[in-house]
Parts: sequence; C-alpha cells; structure tokens
Amino acid sequence: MSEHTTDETETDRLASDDAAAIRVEGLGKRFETGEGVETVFSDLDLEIDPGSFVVLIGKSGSGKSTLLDVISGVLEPSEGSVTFVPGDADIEGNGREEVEIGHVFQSPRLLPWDTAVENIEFVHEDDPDYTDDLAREYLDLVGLSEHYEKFPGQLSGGQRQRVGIARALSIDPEVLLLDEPFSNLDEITADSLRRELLSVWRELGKTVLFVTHDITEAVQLADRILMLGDGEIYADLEVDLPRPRDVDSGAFVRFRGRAVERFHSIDGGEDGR
Amino acid sequence: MSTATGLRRLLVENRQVVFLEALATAAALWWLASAGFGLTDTLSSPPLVAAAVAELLASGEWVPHFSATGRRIAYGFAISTVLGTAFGLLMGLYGFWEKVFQDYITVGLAFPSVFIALFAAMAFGVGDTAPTVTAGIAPFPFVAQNVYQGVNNVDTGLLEMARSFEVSRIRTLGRVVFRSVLPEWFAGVRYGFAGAWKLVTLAEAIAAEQGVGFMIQTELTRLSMTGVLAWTVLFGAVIAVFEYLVLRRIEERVFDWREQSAVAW
Repeated sequence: MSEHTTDETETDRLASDDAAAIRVEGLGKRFETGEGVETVFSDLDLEIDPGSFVVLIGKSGSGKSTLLDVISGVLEPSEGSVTFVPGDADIEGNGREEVEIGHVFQSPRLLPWDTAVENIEFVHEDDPDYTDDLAREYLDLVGLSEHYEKFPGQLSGGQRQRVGIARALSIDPEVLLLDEPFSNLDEITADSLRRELLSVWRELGKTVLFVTHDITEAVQLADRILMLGDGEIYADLEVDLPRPRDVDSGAFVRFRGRAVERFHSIDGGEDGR
Repeated sequence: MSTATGLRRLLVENRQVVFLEALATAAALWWLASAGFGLTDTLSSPPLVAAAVAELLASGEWVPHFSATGRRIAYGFAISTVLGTAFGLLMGLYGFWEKVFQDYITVGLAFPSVFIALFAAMAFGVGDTAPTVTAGIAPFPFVAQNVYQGVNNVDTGLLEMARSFEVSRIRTLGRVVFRSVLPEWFAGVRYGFAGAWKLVTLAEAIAAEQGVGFMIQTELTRLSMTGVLAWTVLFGAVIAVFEYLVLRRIEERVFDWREQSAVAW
C-alpha cells in the first residue's frame, strides 16, 4: 500500500478521450438546521485523474453522499469549486455545465411509469442523436437485452440497478458517480454487478468516483481509496493489487487488513466491513 | 371444473353478472312493493317506468335535454379541472401560494354545493350559465386538494435524479411531477366529474329551461312519479355507460404500468 502515487501505466491505459479529471478546490458544504449551522466538510482539496476508479469511503454521516451531490451539481457548494478537466488537455477546468456526469444512486431512482428504454430516454432531453437503439445498446451492455420494455416494478432489485447504470452510461459521461449502488442488494447480485461495473469501466474508460462504506468492496474496485471523516480526507491510498482481484487471496486480505486499520484510525467505530 | 362450479362462479364472481343480478333484484322488490301494497301512484312500477323511458327514447324528446346537460357538464368539468389542477400545482410547488389558498380550499371542501347553485342562480338567472358555473366551481376544491397532496408526495429522489442529469424544469414537471400526481389528480377529477353530474342537474332544477334537471323538476310539479323516475333511470344509465366505457378505459390505459408491475411480483 502506498500513499497516493498513481500508477501511471494503468490509468493512462484506461483513460479515454471522454474521461475528465475532477478538481476540487477549497470545497465546503454547510447546512442550516434548526439548531444552527452544520458543517459537513470544509476546505476540501482533491484531484482525481481521468479514467481512474476512485472509491470514497467513510462512516455513516461522514458526508460522502453530500460530496457526491455537490460534485454532480445536485447541491450547491457553500464555498470552493469543482471543475472538470478533459483527459487530453492541460487547460483550466470546465464548470458543471460543460461536462456530462452520469449519476448512479443507492436506490435506482427510476420512473416507475416508464419502461427501461423510456427511463434512459428521459435523460436525453437535448440529444438530437438519441434513438431508442442507443438505450437498447446500453441495456445490452448491462445484460438486460430481454427487458427493454419492462417497467421497473417488473424487474428485480439488481436489474433495476442495472437500468440505473445503463442510464448513467448512456449519456456518454466524462465522469461516473456511484453512490453506494449495491448496498441494497444481496451479496451474490452485488458481486455480479461489481464485476460487470469493472468490465464496463475497463471497456469505456470513464472516470469513476464510487462511494461506499464497505472496505472489501472498496479494495475490490479501486485504483485509489479516499477516506472521508471529520470533514476532511484523512487517508489517500493507492491500491496496487493486480486485477482481477481475488478477495480470498493473501495479498487482498493483507491489504484489506491495513485499510481497515487505517479506516478506524480516525476515531474507531463500527462502520467499515 | 364441473358445470355447476362454473355456473356458480359466473353468478357469484363475475362483476357484470352480479351487477345485473342486483339490478334485477331491486326491480323485482320495487315491483312487488308497488303492486303488492297498491302503491303504484306513490312508487310507480318498473313496467310503467320502462314504458315511459321507451317513449322518451322513441320520441327523441330526451335529445335536446341531454345535450344541454352534457354541454353544461363538459364546460363545468373543464373549468373545475383546469382551476383545480392550477391551484393544486401552485400550492404544491410554491409555499407562498399554499399559505394564500390552503384555508380557502379547506372551507371550499366543506361548503354545501347547494348554496353555490343558489348563488349562481341568483347571480346569473335562468339559462346555461348558472348550472355551468355551479359545476365548475363546486368540485374544484376537491381537485385542487388532491393535486396539492399529490405534489407533496412526489418522490424527491426522482427530482434529484432529474437535476443531476440536468433535465429541464419543464420536462421534470411533465415526466416526474405530473406523472407522480396523476393518481391523485385522476381521483380528484373523477370526484369533480361525479360532482358535475349532480350539480348541473341540481342547478337546472333551479335555474334552467332545458336539461335533465329541468325535466325532473317539471315532472315533479306534475306530480308524475313515473316521469321523474323515467328521466332519473335514463340519466343513471348514461352515467353508468360513461363510467364503464370512458372513464374506466382511460384509467386502465393511464395506469397500465401499475397493473403490469403488480402482476410481475
């Protein structure tokens, strides 16, 4: 385990022209509550390489999802900025408006009255090139070839989450944000989807920021693990294990053990499997 | 399945058959009461009413009256639907308008519709306007309240999803908010429609020279129970046909996804 020395070879191989770096500078988010102002995080600096797979891990209430919402533009930052830099350019970063961000949520957030294809069509408002064939192509990619015209209520939890992933990928995003997407699924389905996500990532080379509170999942997926706690990134670990990763291998178990130790170094606690 | 079991199921479980059985039983009891107790003058009887209905249909007398009533219902229903939907959306989407209108809507829900019919009759006199305005105003608080409740129940996760994918407000309103509100909106609109049937005929009885309500009132002044019941039966038949052939079909089509989802699990 090394402290943030990016594996250039791996990242460069995966980075496509469509991937963007994420640059977070002096970012802060506060909420006004009935009892005063609650600061979720402040003065956060972060640089994520294009095409890399970064996992953000933290305990419940550490602000992981809030950070993702600020990056995706769902929430406005209280201070600081988030910019996106194309993978092949050495320029000032673009604002949220200039990039496509695909967001996969903890619950798939599908329109229950629309079919799988229509759910994908919904996010292609100003895309003159969109046809339903594009939606079908991405549904094929996540293994839902038989379910184009099914409503979310006709799909299993895992299938619904696949539609959510297909929807996010279909806009050809420079950045893919995933907020604990497998936490509501049984372990067999979740493991299958993790493998598919990695396969899709390797094929499309998007920049991925993945939130979880599961350390095993983090080590299984990530190039780099960021640990968020007490409003700051308190650990930044490069995962230099070869892929595909066997969770039962000695190297994996040792890495995971050190990650768990580091995870709890901030204040102990029960989260982090 | 034996013939006896099949017949039993048909007679007990088929909705249309049970409806016809109930109708036949009510008609038989009515006939028994009027003939058996010598109350034909008070209760009329099914054969007399059926003959009167047949005469109305054959003479074509029903056409101008049902046209007038139908026109007033259509206009009143359109007014209550547009007003109710607009007020409900405003209240649901903007806290300011919720504060402005909520108390009035609450009072409107409890306000007796007959007062509105009387006020409209006094304000607009005899003619088309009073029944139409009554049917437009009286049910609209129900539509508004339902739409308001529906907007409050919209899944915020879907709104966040739309914002995250930079979907425009107008598309979000149409594809997320309105679709979410549709069950409540439909329930409110159906209530509004049922209210429109009742209120138009009530207002016609007070302030019109044509229409089903006017004819029922006319038969009442002639003390003709058969005439009153003939118009009432005809009116009820039209409502039933509209309910089963139009509203149910629309509802089935609009909420097809719920039916299919329910079947899947």
